[in-house]
Amino acid sequence: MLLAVLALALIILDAKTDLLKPLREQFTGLSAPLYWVTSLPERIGEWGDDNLTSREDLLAENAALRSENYVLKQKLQKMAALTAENAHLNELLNSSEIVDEDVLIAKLIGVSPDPRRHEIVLDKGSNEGVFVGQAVLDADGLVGLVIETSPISSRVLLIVDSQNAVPVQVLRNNVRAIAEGTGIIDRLHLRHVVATTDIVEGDMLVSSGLGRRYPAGYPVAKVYAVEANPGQAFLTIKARPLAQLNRSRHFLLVFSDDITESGNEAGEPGNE
Amino acid sequence: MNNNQARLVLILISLLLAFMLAVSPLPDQWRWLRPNFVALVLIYWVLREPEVVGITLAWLVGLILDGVTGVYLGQHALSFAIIAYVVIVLHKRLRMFSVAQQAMLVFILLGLDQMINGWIDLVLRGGREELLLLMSAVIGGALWPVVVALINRFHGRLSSSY
Repeated sequence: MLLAVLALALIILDAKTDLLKPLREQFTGLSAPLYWVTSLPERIGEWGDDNLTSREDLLAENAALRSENYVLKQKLQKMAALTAENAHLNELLNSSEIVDEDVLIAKLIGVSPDPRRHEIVLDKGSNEGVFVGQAVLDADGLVGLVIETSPISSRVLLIVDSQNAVPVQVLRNNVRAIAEGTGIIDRLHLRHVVATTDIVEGDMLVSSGLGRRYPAGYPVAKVYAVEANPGQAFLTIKARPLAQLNRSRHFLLVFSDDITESGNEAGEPGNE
Repeated sequence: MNNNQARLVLILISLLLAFMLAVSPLPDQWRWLRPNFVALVLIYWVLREPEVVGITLAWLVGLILDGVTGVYLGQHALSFAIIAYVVIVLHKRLRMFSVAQQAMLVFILLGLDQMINGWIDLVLRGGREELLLLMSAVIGGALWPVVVALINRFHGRLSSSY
């Protein structure tokens, strides 16, 4: 009886306050080896893929990567010119310049066993400078943000979790919206979009950087259904995340000056 | 190593294995079907050794599971304490049951565990209640004979000598 009351008190304390955070961090740190051990079969498979391939396969892969590299380099050349032009235009407009972001590559070591929660565990923690609130990407788009760190691991809340939302804008016309997680791994909803808004199927959504949680300009999702119901004031817009949320094994943790300092800046509005 | 120590080691190892099964990665759609392995092993030990594994230990194991899986601290502590209480109250009768009859009760207990956790999640986080969750309790009940047979292989040697 006493234990039941104690458990209920713990649940409420944990859900509503930050008091239990140190304890949770301890648990996250202690459970990292457990997640690491359970991801071993997958790692061995990966190692096998790397080390037990034939020479022909390696040569073919090498050739494919080299040609991809040339294509990317060609695009980069264009990018350099565009970046310079963009910076110049921004200067003319007197707006702040766009900062380059540093990234840290992390490996996936665990997935939340609770099917109601979309969370993953990565193998980099506060020892490598990972902090709570940091944005996480994969090769295709925005993945989520760090909600818990231990020295050797960190827990990431995916953008599709029902507790998460990302400020986005449409790439085509810069219309802003908020993409909310639904708890379904391949679906985001845009909330409170008025019926006359110009969003159509196939529109690309990129992070807008509003709210200072996520860095601006990263691809988030692609709209695949726009339903207008005359009985409702808002459109029902569904989008599919671009990041391979349930397939990627490697993730990028973004370090941008803007985001790390957001805590201080948010505290003193109107300083800029 | 005497019998008591051996028993404690066996309890620890079986729980550790259950924890590993509980966090091992599964495809997204399959996560709904994973039975609560830790609860299964815990029920076994409360049933066999109620003097060693009681309500308090069950509560602690639940708390560790909460910490490891990243849900609200106390969720599984609550449900495991309730499960342990029911098993302790019924343990004399349960031992007389056949394994199939025990499996029915295990199914009910695992379903209770899922429902308590589902309700807490529903109240604190919102979202939908999924009846699919009870599927994992059905699978857990079906796995009960396997768990009993597996642990009995090691445990039987210990308990036969006293």
